[in-house]
Amino acid sequence: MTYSGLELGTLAGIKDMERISGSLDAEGRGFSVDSMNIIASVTIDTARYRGYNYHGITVGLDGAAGLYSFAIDAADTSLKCNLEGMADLGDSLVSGSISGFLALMPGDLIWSVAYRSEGRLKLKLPAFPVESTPRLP
Amino acid sequence: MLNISEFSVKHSSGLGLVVAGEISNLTKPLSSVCSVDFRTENVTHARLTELIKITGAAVKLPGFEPLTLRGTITDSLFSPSFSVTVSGNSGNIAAEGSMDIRDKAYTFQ
Repeated sequence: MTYSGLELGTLAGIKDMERISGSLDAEGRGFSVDSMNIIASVTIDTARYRGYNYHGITVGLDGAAGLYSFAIDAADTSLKCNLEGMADLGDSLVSGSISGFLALMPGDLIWSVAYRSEGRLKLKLPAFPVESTPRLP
Repeated sequence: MLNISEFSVKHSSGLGLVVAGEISNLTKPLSSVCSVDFRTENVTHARLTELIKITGAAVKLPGFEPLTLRGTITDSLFSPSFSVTVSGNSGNIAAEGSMDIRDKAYTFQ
């Protein structure tokens, strides 16, 4: 699936997000998140957020029987990101982990993340940075 | 063989759907094959909201500019392939895929 000029901010209610373009591929079996098998990839060629255009963001997802692994990469000059993790949604006790780094520029954020969560609704990435630096050197 | 030269439905809200194509072996669904094109007229937020309200579903639609939807469904009724495009000022989407209904398997690209 290709999408172009999609008003994601308006459609998904994401503040400050404007139009995005890219593609999505998926192949799978089953529809229930606790049992489906799926391989999916999302490429964001361009995304305009808070007045900046970000490029080349990829998200990969691989899941089977409720156990999902994912990877998020970006090599834009204003967004450097290399995150990977897993989520176990097949059990009543939801658990997950994520590690890597995220740097949003220009701005004040750079996170180095190594976070593990168990229990419902606890996997909120930016709220729990293990290390943080207020500004890039 | 069921041949649909053009089948058009229009709701009082202004939403319209046009379907054309053919379906073979309709009495034997397992071996039935279709080739159907469909398209909508301008779908607006207000029209779609009204239609959904009639169905009784409680869905809050995101705001979107008027759009048109056009596509094709082909192959077996139980494992159809499809292509669809959505065009409008809120963005454009083009998708192709297939689905095996009995096996709950799908591809989307």
